[in-house]
Amino acid sequence: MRLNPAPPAVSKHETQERISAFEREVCRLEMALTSQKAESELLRKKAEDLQQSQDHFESLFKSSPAAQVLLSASGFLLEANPGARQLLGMKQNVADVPFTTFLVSGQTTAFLKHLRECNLKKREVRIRLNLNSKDGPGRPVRLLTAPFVRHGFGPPMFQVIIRDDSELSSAEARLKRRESEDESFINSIDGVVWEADAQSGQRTYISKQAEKLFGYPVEQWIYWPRFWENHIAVEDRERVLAAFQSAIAARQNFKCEYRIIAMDRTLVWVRDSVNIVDEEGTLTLRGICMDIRERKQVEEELQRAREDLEQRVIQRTTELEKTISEMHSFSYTLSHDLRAPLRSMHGYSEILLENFGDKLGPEGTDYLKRIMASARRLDSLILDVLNYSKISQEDLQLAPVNLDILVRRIVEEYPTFQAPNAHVEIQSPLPPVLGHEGFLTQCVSNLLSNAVKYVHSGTTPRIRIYTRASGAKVQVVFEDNGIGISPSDQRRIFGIFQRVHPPQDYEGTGMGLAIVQRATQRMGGQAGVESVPGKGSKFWLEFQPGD
Amino acid sequence: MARTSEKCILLVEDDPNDVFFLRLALEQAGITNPVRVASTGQQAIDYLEGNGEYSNRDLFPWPDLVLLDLNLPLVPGIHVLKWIRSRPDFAFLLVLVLTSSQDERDIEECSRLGARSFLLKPISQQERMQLVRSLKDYWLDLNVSPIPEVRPAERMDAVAL
Repeated sequence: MRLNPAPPAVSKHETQERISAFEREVCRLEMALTSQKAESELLRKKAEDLQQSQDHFESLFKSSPAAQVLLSASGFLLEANPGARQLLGMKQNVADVPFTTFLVSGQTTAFLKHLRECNLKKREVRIRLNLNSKDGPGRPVRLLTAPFVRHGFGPPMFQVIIRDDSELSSAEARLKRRESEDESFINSIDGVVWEADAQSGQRTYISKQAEKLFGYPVEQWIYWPRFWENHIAVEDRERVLAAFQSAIAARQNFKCEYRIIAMDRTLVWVRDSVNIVDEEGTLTLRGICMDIRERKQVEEELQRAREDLEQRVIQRTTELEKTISEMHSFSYTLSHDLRAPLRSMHGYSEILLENFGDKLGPEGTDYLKRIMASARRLDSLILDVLNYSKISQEDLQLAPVNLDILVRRIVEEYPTFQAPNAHVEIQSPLPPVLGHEGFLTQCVSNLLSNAVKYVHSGTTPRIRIYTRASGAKVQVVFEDNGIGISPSDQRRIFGIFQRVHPPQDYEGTGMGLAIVQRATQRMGGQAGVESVPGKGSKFWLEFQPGD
Repeated sequence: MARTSEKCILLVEDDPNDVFFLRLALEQAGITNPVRVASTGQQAIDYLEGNGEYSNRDLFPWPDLVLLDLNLPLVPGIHVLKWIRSRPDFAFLLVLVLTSSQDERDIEECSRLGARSFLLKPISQQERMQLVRSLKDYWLDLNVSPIPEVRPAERMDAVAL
């Protein structure tokens, strides 16, 4: 632009130009002002909001029932709400006091560490401390500390919520006391109470009794891996672990007896009573392990006694078997070697009598006949003894026997029991009895033989066979019209080789009734006699009924 | 086939008295069959085997009937029975036990081992005569025995010829 000393004449157009430029400038300025105004309005609003939230915080801080304090970055008390003032025992809002003055001595470091932690983590952290108090131990509190900046800017501070823990603590203490009471109760039980994880078998709890019983400190059971498993006696281990496993699989409580290797290397017999507890899928074992050493000792002694007894029984049985086998060979000798010479005596006498009888004369013939009769008698005696020992030894199986058929058949088989030699009258029918057919036949034929033998000469034997009740048993009576037996002889006649009459009067070996009694006894019965001399006898056999 | 009166009886008996009584009974009963005696169990086995002097079957013919006592020294009668049982070629041999034992176990075992009868030695000569007579009547005359195809001892004779 050219500078003129006199204003140059301005043209109308030029003036117009200048006005519009000025107007544009004004408009621009107006616009800028508007935007400036809006900005400042925004700022004002923001400040208002901040003020509001600050007020909100302030009112919350003041009205909160929870004790709250604001601390400076270095832990000085800036503000305390009424709750905090009450808890801390402050008369008024004292500022600029280190918060540590409210804590029991010795907790300063912990508290400062706590603040540092909060500062580092930039989030809330917790700690348990005790407040200073004049009487007794410090009141337990919990601090919840969070970083705090007033109005969104300003210096960093800590907002701390203090919770009174004394109520909680006393409940906990009660619980603790209760637990220790339980503990002492558990420890007074005469047995080891334990708890274990079902999967690993690891003890999670074991009562003090374990130390007394096994010697190892309780901690070993809990912290040493597989401690329980490794201290089961080797001989029992496999069985016990298998029992535990199958019980756990079946979710079934069980009992198990085994030995634990104690610290002094002795084996302790225990009886473990195990409960399986299912707590939402987690299986826990709880058990009581009882000392059963005394019982086991008694059992072992009993076992030893039993074995001893068994050994003695075996020994006696062997001895008895030997005796029986000797008896058997003796019987064999009796039947073979003793009877052979008798056969010879009898045989040669017979030949002598036949071929040389006329040369011997009547006296010599009589002697020979006596030799033969003696040989016969000795032979039947041997046979009877064999019979008696056979009846004593034979294995016996008792069964119901039809006595009616048995008695009738015997009578039919022997002419001596039939008319005109004898009259036998049988009650019809005789009841069945529990016995053995062979033995019964022997008894009945022996009794019948006696009945027809022991009669006064010239008398026809009359025998009546009938039964009479004897409690639950059956008594079979053989009543005869024989010579009878004196009371003094009545017991004697059932013994072996017992004879009342000389052989020249009545032939016999003295074994017949002994065989009857032995056979009846073997069949679980009894034999007896009722008699009056000269008026006949009643021999009776008593049996269990066979129906 | 041999006539019944030529059938040989082998008596296995250690008691000479019993041998005497039995021979007498046979004689008294009019039985003339040849009788050979083995007085021990071993002799009986040797006789049947044809060992030693028994290889001469003219003197010691194959028995048609064996009367066996059980109570023999060293080798008992039961053992002889077992030995016979173990020989299939002796299956047709007629063995009767003649003894004084009444032991049921003996009776059972003998029967199981193939003895055809179990007889008790009688005490009187009369009974003995009756016994040998019925033995001859039944086992030697009445009873028809199978004839073994080859008798062990005869086979040996055939080789010798």
